[in-house]
Amino acid sequence: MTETPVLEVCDLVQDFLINRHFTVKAVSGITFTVARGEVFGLVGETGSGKSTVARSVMGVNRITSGRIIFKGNEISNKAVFHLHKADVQKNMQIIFQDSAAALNPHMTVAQIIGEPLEINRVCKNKEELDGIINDNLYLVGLSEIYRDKYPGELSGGQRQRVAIARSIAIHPDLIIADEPIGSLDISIQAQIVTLFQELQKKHRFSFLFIAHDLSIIRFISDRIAVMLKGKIVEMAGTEELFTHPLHPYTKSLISSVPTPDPRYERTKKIIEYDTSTFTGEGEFKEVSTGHYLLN
Amino acid sequence: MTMIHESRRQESGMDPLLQLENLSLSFDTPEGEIQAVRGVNLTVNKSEILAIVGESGCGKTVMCQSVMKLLPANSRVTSGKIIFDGIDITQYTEKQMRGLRGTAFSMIFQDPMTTLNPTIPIGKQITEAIHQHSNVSKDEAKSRALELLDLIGIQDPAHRYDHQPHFFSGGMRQRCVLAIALASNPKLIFADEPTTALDVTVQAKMLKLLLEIRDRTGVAIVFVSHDLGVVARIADRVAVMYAGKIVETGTVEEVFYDPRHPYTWGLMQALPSLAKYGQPLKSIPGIPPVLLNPPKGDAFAERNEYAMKIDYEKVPPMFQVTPTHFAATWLLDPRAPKIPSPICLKQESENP
Repeated sequence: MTETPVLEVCDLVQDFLINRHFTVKAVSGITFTVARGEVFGLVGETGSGKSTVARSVMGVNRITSGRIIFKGNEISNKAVFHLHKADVQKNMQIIFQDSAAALNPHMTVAQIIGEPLEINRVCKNKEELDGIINDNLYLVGLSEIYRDKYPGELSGGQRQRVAIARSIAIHPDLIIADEPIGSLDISIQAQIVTLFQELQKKHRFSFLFIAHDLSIIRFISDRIAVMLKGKIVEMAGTEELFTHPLHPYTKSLISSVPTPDPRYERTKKIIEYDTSTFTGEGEFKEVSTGHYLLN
Repeated sequence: MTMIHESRRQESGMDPLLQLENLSLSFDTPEGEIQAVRGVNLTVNKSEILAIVGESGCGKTVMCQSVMKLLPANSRVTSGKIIFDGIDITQYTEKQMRGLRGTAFSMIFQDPMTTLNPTIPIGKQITEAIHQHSNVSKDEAKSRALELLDLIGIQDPAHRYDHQPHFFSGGMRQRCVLAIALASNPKLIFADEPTTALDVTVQAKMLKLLLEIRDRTGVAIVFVSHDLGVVARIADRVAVMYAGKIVETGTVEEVFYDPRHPYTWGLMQALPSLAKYGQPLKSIPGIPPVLLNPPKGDAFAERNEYAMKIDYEKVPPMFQVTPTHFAATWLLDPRAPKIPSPICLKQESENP
């Protein structure tokens, strides 16, 4: 069982140079792997660097230091990346939070979903392309009548489905989902989460799932990493993390999640953790099997 | 800041502050009349936190704004009454409303940055609100503003008084908005998704603060939210809204432990924290109806797996479950089949 992980991130550092005197240290040395078919959840507060990790892995940012290894190839190395460019660009897809901004308003749904297929030359002819577009529309719970609609004519939930259809159409190995359900209504959140789970079971995609909502992360992820100020403070399997949280920040995060149970909600104790005392110093090591802690 | 003790709060517990009687509100658009609020009966008691839950587009915000008369010119109240503190304010003019906004009720919005002026120091924005509503000297207003900043938990208020909003974090900004809302001692605050934009840890602190403020000042809060977890924590009573109507109302325990309306069931089943591990989440199919031509009968019928024939024909009345618990669903009619609630929260609370 030593399959190459889909994604390995080693000591990723991402600084943003604002000017000569000021550098934003968005991500300061994080390491994690995403195995094939695994849903890896990344959770943290606003400004903890979650989205930066997603963008750095995608190659949007030029990383400051560290290594990003995709299916065994070190894509953070320019030469290696160019060698595997086609593979990387086909097999790593991202879904953004704001689907209104992610979809081109001047393209129809069919064009949006078809574009990556054409670019990656997946289909031999137009009929096959049309077939794949329709299949994927059905897969995300939309129908053919949406083909010629523009993103502006769709509701938020439908737009997000189109964005998902676009990402899954070319069967990538890794999908990075950056707060994919943050801007949606509760009932639609449930629909999208269920959709993710079904697709994941069917096609064994690997997911890097980024969210600030712990209840969703808990529901969907196999393993979770908690980020704070550009560092991973704790990483463990979902059940392990929720039953035995070790870092005070994780404890505070878990205790803060509101549960829809009035009696429990009113009696539970919320653990407070002053994040201004967090320096990010310490060593990130394994405390028990698969459970890592920054201490 | 007047201290209202627990005993006095309980005494005034059943004292209605705001009553909506059969309130209907429509927007006139080129496409036709959109009936955003359809015959809502609702009471907010003094010092009470009432939560209004529902999906987007259910009329939650419109209902709050209709009380404050903050809606655009193409809206009109088509029937019903708004009674505040015993006075019918339905026909109040803009000038009369100005006297009430701030002193009688104020509002907190989701995004603090759109409420605050980014160029003016926080302290000045609070004193501005104080001057607007009461005739006090500059020094008095400043000391009151400092008192408010202290009340909302800003450390070192004298120093922070001169800071612009961008020096504050999201949670702190939302606290400042709360301070402005509290500036003129309102009796009622409409809080429209005040914690949705905040991180969970910050949200927990904000909710704690709102409860403290309620206990110290006796202000009533109408809390609009779609997060049932947050509602469970903060609310005394809950009103579930769907397609411009209140479909279920009751105390927080009644609605959470014994929900009766299929829409409330749907909302709860959609929560990942209530789902069993490994089982799929259940979602409510479809989307809320557009209220251009509201459907005949129960607006929820189309999305309701338990819908009966009558649901498509006749609007269900409010059935009484207990003296404080009401639900508008034909399932409560004695002739309807008995359907057990698909949610069981009680077991959950025994082993949290």
